[in-house]
Amino acid sequence: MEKHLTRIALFAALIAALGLLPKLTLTSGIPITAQSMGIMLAGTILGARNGALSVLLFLFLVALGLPLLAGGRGGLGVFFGPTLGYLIGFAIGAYVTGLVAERFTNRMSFVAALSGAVVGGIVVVTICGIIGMAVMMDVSLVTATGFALPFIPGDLIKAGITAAITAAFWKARPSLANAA
Amino acid sequence: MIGALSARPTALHRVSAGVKLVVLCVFCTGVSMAGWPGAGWVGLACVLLGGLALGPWFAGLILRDLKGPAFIAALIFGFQWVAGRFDLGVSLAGTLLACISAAMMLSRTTSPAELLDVIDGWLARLRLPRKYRQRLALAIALTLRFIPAISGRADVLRLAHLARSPKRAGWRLVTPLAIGTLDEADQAADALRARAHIE
Amino acid sequence: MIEAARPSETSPVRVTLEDVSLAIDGRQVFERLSLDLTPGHVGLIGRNGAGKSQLLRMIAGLVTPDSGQVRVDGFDPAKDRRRATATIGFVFQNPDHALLFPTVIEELSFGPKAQGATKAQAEQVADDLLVRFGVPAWRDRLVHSLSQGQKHLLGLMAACTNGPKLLILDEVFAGLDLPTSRSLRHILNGLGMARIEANHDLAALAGCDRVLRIAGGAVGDDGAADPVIARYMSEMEALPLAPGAL
Ligand SMILES: Nc1ncnc2c1ncn2[C@@H]1O[C@H](COP(=O)(O)OP(=O)(O)OP(=O)(O)O)[C@@H](O)[C@H]1O
Ligand SMILES: [Mg+2]
Repeated sequence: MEKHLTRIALFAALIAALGLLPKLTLTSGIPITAQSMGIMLAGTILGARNGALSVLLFLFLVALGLPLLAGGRGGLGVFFGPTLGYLIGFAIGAYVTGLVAERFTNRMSFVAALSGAVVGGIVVVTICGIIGMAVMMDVSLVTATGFALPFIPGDLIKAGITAAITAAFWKARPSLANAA
Repeated sequence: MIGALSARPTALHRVSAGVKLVVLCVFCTGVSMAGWPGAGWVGLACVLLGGLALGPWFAGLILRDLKGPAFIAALIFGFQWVAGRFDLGVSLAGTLLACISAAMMLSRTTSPAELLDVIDGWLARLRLPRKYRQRLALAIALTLRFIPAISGRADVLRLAHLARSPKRAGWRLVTPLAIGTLDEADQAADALRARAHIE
Repeated sequence: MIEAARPSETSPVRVTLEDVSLAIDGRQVFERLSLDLTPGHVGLIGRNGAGKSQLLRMIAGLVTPDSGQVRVDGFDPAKDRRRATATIGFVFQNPDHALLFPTVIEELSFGPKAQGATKAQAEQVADDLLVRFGVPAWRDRLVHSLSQGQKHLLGLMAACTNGPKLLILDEVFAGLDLPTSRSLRHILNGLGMARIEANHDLAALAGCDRVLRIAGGAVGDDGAADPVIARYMSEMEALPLAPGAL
């Protein structure tokens, strides 16, 4: 019990700390932050349930007013914008990331983590984000998809890094792969 | 707890967090459901006037919080206008800004700890078993305790990398950071187990 | 229970191990170890990796042995966690891992609260403890902002919040300067609780009523402090200084 609790809590802290790392800016000018990689990592390293719980915990702290989102944003206000779908998608995405990775014999191999991160961390998060934008901005799904597309290349890079980190993680702590 | 809370007190700091949360919900629902394009802007004006009443510096604080959202609101408005839906654009942008400004007003005047107490009280009334509420409170405290520790660790790793490599560390830090976080979590679990019986 | 942090000089604790075996990641650390302790002040010595920390963790009920029985005052500390956390205080070597809360008051009121005290009662326990340790001004300090030595003291205080009969100390003085470790030791002596303590600073164990030396997964030497420590020292000084000896 204690182990689940502390892992959930400390990964929420890791997601917050990753928001403080410097941004990378792609040639397209779209900035990508390490924070959304934290979401994928929560799914690949902690597994579906604990990963999703740690993302929910992180979001809850943001809602309480702590400035933990990348760029120092926090407070209930962030849940009213068109990015609401993405925030919800983070929690679902972490869950699906873990779920997909767990289909493989070794859930922490590069391929398993990459599949999880792409399906959960990109497809699911982006779909939630698109629906969110369509609802909040009152535009069609096609239009909202247009808004979401520029972020995909950055997300693919992040999924690749996530998979590499997860595989390195598994080498360093092999027993973790069994005990999700 | 740190956070968006403004250190300089206002009259609104003294209002109970529960009341503010309920008012926020009612306000946002009202503004979104009004069905009249100007509703959001009237709502926004009310919030800003309220902020002004608490002190011009406080209204300034809220206005600064609205900088990012204002950009998004302008985008939404512009997009809808081009699509020939001027009224909808006005309404969406106004609602967005009204809700965000009201929410920021709450976050700026309410400490996270107080907000948590209110939510914990509501969860208790909803008959959520004590053990779950205990775990939530514990998880929040642990997260807050370890955020500075983990970002401090990132700084140490950056220096260690700098000492041995001419390249910038950047995201290379994330692997040791994640491994360190997991180890730290397992040590914390030990300490937790030594200190208390968690159901 | 809530009447915490009172040293109980009266009834001594009895710690027994019967045929205890423990393996970690397939490595046998202890094999059929039996012990009967009634601290006082018991010292634990042995080389790095000898198993001192694992033994202490078994006594505190933090790890469960693969076979055999551990009993503290007749109960199984790994099973009966509520009693274990009320009876045994564990002070970790590194307070950075053991301190779990953002502020000092939260840190110290956590134990009593988890034992069932109300928030007000728990904070009362914490306040009493702060006064008793002479640092009432720390109440609302951020744990993060304390110095390393101060964190060690807070770690000790946190282990005392439930008024334990037995304190377990795993190299709690490593890395502290002389005045800090001396004053911590002075405070510990004043608490009057039974203690089991692992320490590489042999001089610090000179006052123990009994010292055990752990070697090869068993008790290698056992008895009064001075002779056990003296035998250990002469043996260690005879070891070759090659990297292979690490
Ligand atoms: N987390 C762990 N995973 C695998 N093996 C471990 C772990 N912790 C301890 N061990 C092993 O258990 C044995 C006993 O370790 P323990 O930490 O109890 O030694 P110690 O006497 O406390 O040493 P030290 O003086 O260095 O603290 C060692 O051989 C060690 O390799
Ligand atoms: Mg040790």
